Amino acid sequence: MSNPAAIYSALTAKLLADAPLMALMPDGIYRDIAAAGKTKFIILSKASDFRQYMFQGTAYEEVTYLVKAVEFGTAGTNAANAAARILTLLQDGTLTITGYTLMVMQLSEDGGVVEYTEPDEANLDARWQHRGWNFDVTVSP
Amino acid sequence: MSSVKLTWSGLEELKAALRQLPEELTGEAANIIEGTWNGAALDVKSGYPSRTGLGRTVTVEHRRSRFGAVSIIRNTSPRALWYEVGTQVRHTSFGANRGAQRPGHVFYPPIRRARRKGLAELREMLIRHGLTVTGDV
Repeated sequence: MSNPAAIYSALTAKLLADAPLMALMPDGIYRDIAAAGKTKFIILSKASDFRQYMFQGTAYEEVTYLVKAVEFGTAGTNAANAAARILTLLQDGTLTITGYTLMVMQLSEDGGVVEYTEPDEANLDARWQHRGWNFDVTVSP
Repeated sequence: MSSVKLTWSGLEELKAALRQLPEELTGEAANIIEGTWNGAALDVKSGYPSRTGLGRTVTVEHRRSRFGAVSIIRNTSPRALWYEVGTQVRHTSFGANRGAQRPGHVFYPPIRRARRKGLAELREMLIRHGLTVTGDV
């Protein structure tokens, strides 16, 4: 992979450009870990990568990204709606990646769905809601 | 009314062989599946930092039937999911807040590798037994 950040950058650009999604998650998109004090945001995190070689080059690469909406609160409505919006945007969607051509973008066969509630131990009544997906992004160089 | 009778010599033997085929393949396929997932479970276990203790709660279960084989890898710790996909709050056992934890990505990547490896080996097994396999994994 000539630029390991290319797929991340393309995903970020696509999600940031979607006004309904940004209205649900106004604190923006973070790689791996959010800034302190944020309460409605999206996390993008690379989970794994795989490539199939052929003679004189790479046939395709498959990179799996965790894409989840995180919200502070007990309901998680915004996080759920944001996750639904992410699915609409990414499942079998388009993606413009510098240096690559998107072949297919789909939910992972294993562990595709991310859905859990995390207690805030500092405040026993508070919760963090995590809703999202693991997406396999298959590209050809 | 005229009739035509076709006698296909050896057909019974062929039928018997086809009936036997799934059971023969099941045994070999089960060995491939169990070996692949045992290896994946070791990869998952070794992926967790020892201080987390999460490697000790990884289990692998194998089931075989006459016509199929299933292997299941689990992490029985309730903290395993949080470690895999990250948390917003992270506290020590003494209650000290250590802030958010980035996604660990320890469990699923070896599973994805194992799936590819296992399917490729199963494909090779079918070809060895004279079956035609189209497509790839």
